[in-house]
Amino acid sequence: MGNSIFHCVTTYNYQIVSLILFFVGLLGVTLSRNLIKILISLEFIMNAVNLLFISFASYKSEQAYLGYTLVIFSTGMSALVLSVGIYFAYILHKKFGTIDVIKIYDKYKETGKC
Amino acid sequence: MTLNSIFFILFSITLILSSVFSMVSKQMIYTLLWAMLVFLMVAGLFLLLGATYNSMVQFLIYVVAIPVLIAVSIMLINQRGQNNQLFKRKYSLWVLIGIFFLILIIGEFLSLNNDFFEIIRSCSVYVNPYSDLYSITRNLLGVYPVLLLEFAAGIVLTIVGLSYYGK
Amino acid sequence: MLENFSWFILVPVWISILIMGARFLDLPFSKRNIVLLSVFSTLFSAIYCGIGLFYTFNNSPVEMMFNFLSIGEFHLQLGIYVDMLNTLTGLAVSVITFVIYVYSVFYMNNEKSFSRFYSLMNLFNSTILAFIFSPNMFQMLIFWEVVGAVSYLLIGFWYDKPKISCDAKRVFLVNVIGDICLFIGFISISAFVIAVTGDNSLASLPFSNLNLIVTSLWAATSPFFYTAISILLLIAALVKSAQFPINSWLINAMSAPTPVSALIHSSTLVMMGVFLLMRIFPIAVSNLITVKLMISLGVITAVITSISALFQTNIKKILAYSTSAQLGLVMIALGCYNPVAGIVYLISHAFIKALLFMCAGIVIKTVNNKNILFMGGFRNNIPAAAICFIVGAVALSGLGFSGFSAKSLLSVSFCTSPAPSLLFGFVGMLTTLYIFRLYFIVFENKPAYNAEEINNTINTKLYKLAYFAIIFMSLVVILMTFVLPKGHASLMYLFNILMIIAAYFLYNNSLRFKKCQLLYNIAANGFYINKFYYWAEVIFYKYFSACLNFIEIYIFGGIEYLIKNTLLSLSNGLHKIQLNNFQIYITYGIWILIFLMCVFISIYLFILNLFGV
Repeated sequence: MGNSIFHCVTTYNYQIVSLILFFVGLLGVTLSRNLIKILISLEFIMNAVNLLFISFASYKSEQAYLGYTLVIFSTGMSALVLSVGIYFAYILHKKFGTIDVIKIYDKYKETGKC
Repeated sequence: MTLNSIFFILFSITLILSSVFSMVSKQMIYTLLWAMLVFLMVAGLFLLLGATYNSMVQFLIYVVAIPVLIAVSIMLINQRGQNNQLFKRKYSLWVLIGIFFLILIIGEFLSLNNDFFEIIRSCSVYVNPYSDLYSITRNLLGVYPVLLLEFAAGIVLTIVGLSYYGK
Repeated sequence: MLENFSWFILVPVWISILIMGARFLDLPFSKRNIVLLSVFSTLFSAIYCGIGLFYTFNNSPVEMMFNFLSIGEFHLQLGIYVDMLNTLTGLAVSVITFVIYVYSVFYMNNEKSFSRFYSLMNLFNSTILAFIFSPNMFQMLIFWEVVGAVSYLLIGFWYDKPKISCDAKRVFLVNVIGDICLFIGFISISAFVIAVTGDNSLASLPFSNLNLIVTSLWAATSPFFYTAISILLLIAALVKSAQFPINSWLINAMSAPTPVSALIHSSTLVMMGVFLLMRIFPIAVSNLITVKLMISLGVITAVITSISALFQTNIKKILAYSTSAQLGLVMIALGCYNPVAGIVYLISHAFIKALLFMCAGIVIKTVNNKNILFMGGFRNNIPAAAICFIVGAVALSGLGFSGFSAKSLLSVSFCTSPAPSLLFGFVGMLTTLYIFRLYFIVFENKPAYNAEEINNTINTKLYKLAYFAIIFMSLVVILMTFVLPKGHASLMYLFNILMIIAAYFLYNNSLRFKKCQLLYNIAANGFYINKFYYWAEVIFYKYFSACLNFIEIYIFGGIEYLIKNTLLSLSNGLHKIQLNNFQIYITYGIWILIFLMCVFISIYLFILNLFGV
């Protein structure tokens, strides 16, 4: 790696950024208690994957469209999943009065029904 | 130092910082705003990579549509005193250590002396000079009918959700 | 004649069973009948022993046996074996028992469990006769144990008093040491003898084939094993005869009723150890180490217990220490290869000591106290007891009667060198001193009690019975002088008379020797042997068990705790996997990913190295 990032940006740099974004998302998914925050972290992960796909697609220009197409599909899908997840969060809030996953779990254990 | 690298550094640093702030902030609405910035920066990186159509789609869906959805849900739920903080779980230390090791191992893996990784490291970004809209549309609607499938899935999900809500 | 009727020697067995059965079935069985049955049974066995003694002067020993236990080729036989040693000892035991049965009516009259006492005494008498007349070593072993158990019951006769019950347990447990040693010794003799001869009829070690047993044991064993076996048998004898390392149990046994002390702890039970050594005399004394041990322990016992007896205040303890000392002398005689003097001295001492104990019992019954400091002047109240006590004391110190003959016979065995002779003289002088000290304090001093209190109890019929018993016993002691070979006076005689005068001046109306505080403390506590055992066993055991407890709790318990907590945390972790918490799944997923990546990278590097890339 003779070339520094200031001289020439390679796909490798994009991949590292995507990796960092992925880990931040993973941290949020694992550690946060708020359900909506978890969903946002999931979106981070999806975006990181999309970024990785695009960067790999840019490596070989002749077949780049295939990667782009997949990423569009992935984007739409993740948006759909997020909307459904938010809908579930709303239902859980109506049911238990909270979207804290631990409290929801405790209440589920107390009542024994969802 | 080219314009490309300046923008890349700007975007990537903004992306990382705003993602971290988004996770750390206590108010839900700030989380959402920082997340919007992250999505915006991802769209910018797409643009730098030459995927202009993907960038537009990213902007429309992640910076406009989804934040509205989330904001509405936050307004509906509107809870006070919720525990939005990270690192309050018992196993948070283990997660941090695990992620640290994961980064270490991946770094180790990538820094192996191998031809493949050498190519990846040294490969510069190829930006397509032509508009790629035609090719993508052809792929989506003709070669792989994924968009159709996506619409159908969305309709089915909406019907399922509505029927559940009706109960 | 004797062959067919020798079972009659064991008549007390049936009497004992009869009395116990009557007690058990709650039959109306009066005190008078119990006493008459007991007395006549033991008189019968005494007469039969006398007949056997005269018979065995001219004839070979009689042996009658039946199969008790058959395991394959091995036959354990019980039965009866009559020779001179048996009949002599049995005669002495029977006569003493007869006298003490009569005496016990006086002593135990007011007891509730009168019939229990007599049944136990009968049981003791029958078991010790079975022990004495045993034809082989295994019967000896069996009745050795039974005698120990019965003596436990008799010492703990007043079992409702905690101290007495504790003492009885202690005596029993100390005697178990000897039991175990005897058991190991007999079993190993049996094993070695069978290994050499291959004769299963010798397995139960009959005394009629003792010479064959001894020679085959010599042939079978190495010197080490022979020494070990003979030392084991010696330890058993030492325990039962209250010799030096284990002599303190006799002092604890003094909490028994006085007739029991007179019967068991003066004459019969303590005789068993010496009797065992005489029975297996060739095995015991054919090893030089054992003989040296026997002599040295006997010497130590004689000196230590004589000094201890000089400083005691409990009347029964003085007599108990005296018993230990005299048995130590017998032990030395055996070690000097003089068993005839040993048996003669043993039997004469048994009569004398029973007489002294009975006199002491009368005194104790009169003042209801065992401490000699609360006695005095009994010569005027109970003159018969005083006279009989003088007879016993004179005989014990070797100045006259049977004791004179026996002691002069015994002194022959000490004539080999000057040191044992001097020692014998020293022990004899001490004996004279302490027995006359006892006499002067108890019978001659000014009374230390209120004389009006005891005048009501004496001069009743029961006292006359007791007087009969002690007068009969002193007559036996006097008459034995004519049976025994004539003794010869020596310089010792003069010294002993000087000791009587010294005792008169020292102890009449005063109590000296208390000023020498160190010697007094050591001797009054019996040279701290009991204390030593307390420290060596109880305290050691306490701390040892505390150490074991520590190991148990903190080491084994720690291991248990570790295992438990490891499993608990593992199962808690597995339980968390089972919860519906996807965030924890992801945490596990991260670690599984790390593991897998490590594995993959190592496989990748391994392949790279394999192809030399």
